[in-house]
Amino acid sequence: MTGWLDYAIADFVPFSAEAYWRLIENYSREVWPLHLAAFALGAVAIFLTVRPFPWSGRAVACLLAVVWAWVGWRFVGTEYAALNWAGEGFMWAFMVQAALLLVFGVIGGGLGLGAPGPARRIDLGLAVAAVALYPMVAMVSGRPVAGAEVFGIHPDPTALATLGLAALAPHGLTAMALSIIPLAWVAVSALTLIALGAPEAWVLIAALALALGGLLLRRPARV
Amino acid sequence: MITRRHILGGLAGMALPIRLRAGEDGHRPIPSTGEAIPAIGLGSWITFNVGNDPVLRGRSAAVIAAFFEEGGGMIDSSPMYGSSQEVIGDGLARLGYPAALFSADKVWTRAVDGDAQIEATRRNWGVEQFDLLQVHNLVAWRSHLPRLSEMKAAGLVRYVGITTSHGRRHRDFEAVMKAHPLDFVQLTLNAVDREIETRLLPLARDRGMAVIVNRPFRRGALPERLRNAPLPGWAAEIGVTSWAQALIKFILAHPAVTVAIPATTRVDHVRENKAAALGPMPDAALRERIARDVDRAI
Ligand SMILES: NC(=O)c1ccc[n+]([C@@H]2O[C@H](COP(=O)([O-])OP(=O)(O)OC[C@H]3O[C@@H](n4cnc5c(N)ncnc54)[C@H](OP(=O)(O)O)[C@@H]3O)[C@@H](O)[C@H]2O)c1
Repeated sequence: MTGWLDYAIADFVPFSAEAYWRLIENYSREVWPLHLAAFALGAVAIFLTVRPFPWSGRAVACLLAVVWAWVGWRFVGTEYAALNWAGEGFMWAFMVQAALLLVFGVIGGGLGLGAPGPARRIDLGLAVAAVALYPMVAMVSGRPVAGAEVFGIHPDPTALATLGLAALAPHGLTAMALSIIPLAWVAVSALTLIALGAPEAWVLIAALALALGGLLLRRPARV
Repeated sequence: MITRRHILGGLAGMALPIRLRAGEDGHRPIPSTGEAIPAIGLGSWITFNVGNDPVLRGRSAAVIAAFFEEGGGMIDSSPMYGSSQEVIGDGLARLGYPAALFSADKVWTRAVDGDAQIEATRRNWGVEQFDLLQVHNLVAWRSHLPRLSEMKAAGLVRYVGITTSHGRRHRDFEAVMKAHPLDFVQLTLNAVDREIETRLLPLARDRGMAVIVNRPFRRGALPERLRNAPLPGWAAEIGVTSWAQALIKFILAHPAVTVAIPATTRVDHVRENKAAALGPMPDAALRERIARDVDRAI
């Protein structure tokens, strides 16, 4: 991937792949075993989406809000910001996303299961893959287990799972509003990985395409 | 490891069709004062941005230590480079802030935040004051340049400069060079990116400005691409044993250049780069040939 694109993006990525992956690994070691709790939260969010109770939509939105605030503060604001001057700005974007999830979740009635059809399958598939499969990406790419990126701990799988679940919201406006920041983060992250020459970028690009497809294909759900 | 002795020894008795420009000790004068500084400095974009990782911090400190073992000189950083300033400060503190340090940093923010940023930068390095402060990429230069000049007049910084690494900024850059009495300008020059040779380098000479060369290896892409290409016969003439050294000599052979600041994560590379400032430099004809050979080989 040595074209003009990665040369131009490289102007904005002030760290090496080595420093980035080591940051992820060192942070993972520090917060372990929170991964297990975070994974459980991801599984609960998906379960509540698939087998909803009357309060599920709100609960899932609140759960995601907590996760965004935590990842934003602990990883983006504390760890990542040491490598990137833009990190603090990204942290605030994570906080805004947490606030949006709370507002739409508590006041706006929360998330849902969407209408049956291909969009629902794509969105659910994305959320399940982000929680259950994304941790394997590190190993498949030849990085150590400590480099596994986990929903609720690291930003990329958190953003991907949120994209899947947000797109299932009963109202189009909710889905859109809750997708903007995760879409932007995944795009930034994919570009960063391209600049770093990391093949993981393609996983994010494919997921981004799926998420956009899911949003475009969505039909209003029966609430 | 390539030492000065190897190079000078290897050259002894050779009939050289080349001009010696850099002094044998690899120093160059700063035109505005005549102060001599080592012609090879040390960049810090990406290479020293390692956050709080203790292993990578140790590695960075080893590179900085080797840099001073080889004579030290200019270390260049910027508030844009993440944790690099702190990592440099850490490396310097481990060495007790060597006297051979020429500290160069930048201001890179909105006009109103300039003072606060310079102070934060100073604290990150742990120095009392900087030798050189530059306006990074001409950001808010209309406000920062007078600020830096005032600091210089007040004895709070010794030299003032501006930087860029983008061809598209060269017009503005030239205008600032013509209108302001700068000590230093920092620009990109390497065997492939030679735009500044036509106007900006001659202008720097005329105006008595020291020239810092950034991206001497095109961010590492040049030595990487040349890795498997055999070194041409001229390499022995100018006493280089690697493409990296040839690339550095290509830069230092330009009469307007004062210092090149390659960045590296490797102790052997910092020594290799430092050694390239010693010994004979290619003349103008050989310089062109190096550029042609590099172009052909990449
Ligand atoms: N606008 C501005 O103010 C501006 C813009 C750009 C750059 N700069 C300054 O200029 C400095 C230099 O530019 P740069 O860092 O962008 O690029 P560079 O110095 O052209 O290239 C750095 C790369 O070259 C490799 N390298 C160093 N010595 C080597 C050797 N002997 N053999 C093979 N590879 C070698 C390094 O890899 P290893 O780690 O493997 O050695 C590193 O990845 C920057 O660090 C920064 O301080 C300023």
